[in-house]
Amino acid sequence: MDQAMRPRPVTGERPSLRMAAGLALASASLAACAGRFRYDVPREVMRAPNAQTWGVGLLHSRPAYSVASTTVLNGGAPLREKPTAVIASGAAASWQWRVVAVPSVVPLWTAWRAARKNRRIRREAERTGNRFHTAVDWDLALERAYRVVQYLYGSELPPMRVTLLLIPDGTEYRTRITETGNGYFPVTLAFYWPPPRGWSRC
Amino acid sequence: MYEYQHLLVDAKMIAAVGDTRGDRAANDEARSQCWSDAVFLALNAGTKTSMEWRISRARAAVSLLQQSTRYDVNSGGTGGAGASRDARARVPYPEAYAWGRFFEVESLVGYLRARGLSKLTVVDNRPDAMNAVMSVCRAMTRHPLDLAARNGYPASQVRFVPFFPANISKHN
Repeated sequence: MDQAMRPRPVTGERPSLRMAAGLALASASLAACAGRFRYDVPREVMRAPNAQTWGVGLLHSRPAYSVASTTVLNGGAPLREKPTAVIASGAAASWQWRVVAVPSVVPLWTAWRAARKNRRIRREAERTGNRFHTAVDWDLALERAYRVVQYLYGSELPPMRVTLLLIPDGTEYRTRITETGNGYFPVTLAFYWPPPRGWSRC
Repeated sequence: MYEYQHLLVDAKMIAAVGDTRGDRAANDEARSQCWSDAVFLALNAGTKTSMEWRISRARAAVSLLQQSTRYDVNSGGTGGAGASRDARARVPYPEAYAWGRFFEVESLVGYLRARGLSKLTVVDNRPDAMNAVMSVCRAMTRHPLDLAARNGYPASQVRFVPFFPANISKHN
């Protein structure tokens, strides 16, 4: 079957916020034979300067879930620190989560959290049951995301343990982490903090 | 959430649809990207943040497809595995992400228009439009269809199920 005839769609169909995010891509990765990974985006796109790509792939599900998590952030600056500071952790029903930052990011996060506007929004969100306000903290965001996914999926959500790594905006970071979870999906992905302008990944 | 959806498909908790690996990946991508958009809407609920699916650009994308001699968007949508499906080209796997985005936008645009929302901008304090987007993603999840064989998810098969209450804006 000739696959080459199908043209790529123009990029204009993407929501404007995603357009503003530039090459903020994510792709499903699959393990092929001999442990080789393939991505559902062209290789040239993943290699482009400033491209951001995240991918996960379930390598096997028995006797436990084995998940490969890939992050490719093609920033221009070298990353001189490792993410070691746990700045938040918690659970939203069957999801457990933690956020781990490189040390230089911690003050930026602390300042964001302490901003008067964000403290006010947090109080209001807690008062109204965290449903209708900008999610200004990790626990609020994960809790609300859980509600959305439960609405979409329709039944109890399979457990997940997710680790979010925060690294400075504009740095280069490429890693693939393979983790095994007994009864849960283990996922570890890295993101820039503060998020680049127009960033819209969820 | 984008990645979580992929894992649910990998683990067969959400059915994979499509005849080829590329088509299945594109359908998977359409749903994952819809989940991502749905969560984005929810995380910014009550604000003036907006997402836009420009109909003119969607049309331009369709026009590109129609120029292909191997793919006729007007012949899709029969739902069957007849000659028209066999005659068209499949999604190449490395392009599945981009095609998934197109299928998602086709689906959202179709349903928003069916609900009379001609301006395809969804502001995060407009529960009617937000709930329309959520409902499409929900339908794509609970009743997956091969979008590579259609012009997006059929609006007639989307059940409007609100996630956000109608009075969302007064909370902010």
